[in-house]
Amino acid sequence: MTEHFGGTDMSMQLSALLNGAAHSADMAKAFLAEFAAAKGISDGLLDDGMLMAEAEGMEMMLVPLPDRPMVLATVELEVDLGEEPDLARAFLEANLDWAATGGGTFASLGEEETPHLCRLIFVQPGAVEAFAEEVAGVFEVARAWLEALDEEEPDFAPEEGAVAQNWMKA
Amino acid sequence: MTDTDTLSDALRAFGEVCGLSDLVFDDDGVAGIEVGDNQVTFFLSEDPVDHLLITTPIAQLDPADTQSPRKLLRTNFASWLSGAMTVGLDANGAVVGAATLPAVAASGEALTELVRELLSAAEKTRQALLDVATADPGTDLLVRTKRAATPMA
Repeated sequence: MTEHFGGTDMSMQLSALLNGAAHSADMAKAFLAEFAAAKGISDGLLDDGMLMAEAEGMEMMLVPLPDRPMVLATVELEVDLGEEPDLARAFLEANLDWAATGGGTFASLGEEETPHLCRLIFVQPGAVEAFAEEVAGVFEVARAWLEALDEEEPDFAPEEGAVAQNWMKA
Repeated sequence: MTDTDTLSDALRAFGEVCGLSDLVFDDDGVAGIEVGDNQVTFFLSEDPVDHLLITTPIAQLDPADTQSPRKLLRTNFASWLSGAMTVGLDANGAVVGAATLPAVAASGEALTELVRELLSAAEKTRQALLDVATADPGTDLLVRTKRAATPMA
C-alpha cells in the first residue's frame, strides 16, 4: 500500500522528520482515524497514525502533526529532478504563487529527487466533510501539475513580479 | 477596524520594536526595512487576501546552476513545516524566503517573532546552499547576494 511512496522507508523518513518534538499526536491522529472510518478507507491507516488516501491514480500521505491540530497532506509527483533539473526551478517558482500550489509548497523529502506537493490542513473533530474538501483540493492541484508535466513544452514561468502579488502559505 | 488596519497597526508596532517610528505601507501596500544585512519587505497580500506577506532575499542563483534548486527543495520542507518560511524563486532568479501572517493573528509581537523566524530560516538556507557549493566545486555556481539590493521592491 505504501509502495508508491517508497514503502516503509518513506513512512520512517516522515516520522523522523516530524517527531522531533514527541508531543501527543492524539488529536490529529484521532481525527484521521475518524476521517478514515467515515470514508471507508480505514485499511489505509498505518500503525503510526498516518493515512494513505488514493484518488484518480494518485496517492496521498496524510500525516498527523505531533504538536499542532494539523495534518500534513503530501502527494508525490513522479518526476526525477536528477534527470530533469530545470523542473526544480519551476517548482520553486510555484512556491511563490499561492494559486499554483493551492496554498501549499513543493518540497523534496530527505534525499529524494522527487518533488512533493505539501499542504497543512487544520483539523477539527467532527469536521470530516470540510477536511475531505481540503484533501480534494490538494489532489486537484497535484493533478493539474501532472497534466502540465505531461505536456511537451510545459510553461511554468511565473509572471513578472508575481512574488509581490501572489504568494504562498502560512 | 478592517484587516488592513489591523495589519498596518501590527507593522507599526513592529517598527517601534525596531526603533522605527514611521514604518507604514506605501500606496501600493508595500513596506521595507533592513535588519542587519537582511532586507525584509512587507506586502499587503492580494492572494490570499487579509494576509501580510513577508519576504527576504536569500541568494541569487546562476542560471546554469542545476544543483542548488534541488537542494532548496530539500531544505524547504523543514523550514516550511516549522512555519518559518517557504523557499521560492522569483522571476529574476533570486531565491526568496517568504512567510505570511493572517490578519486575525496579527500583532506587533506576532510579526516580530515571525520576522525573527524568517531571518533565521533564511540564514540556515544560505548555509545549506554554501555547503552544496563547498561539497562540489564543479557546481560552484552559486552567487551569494546577502548584501544585494532588493530584488522585488
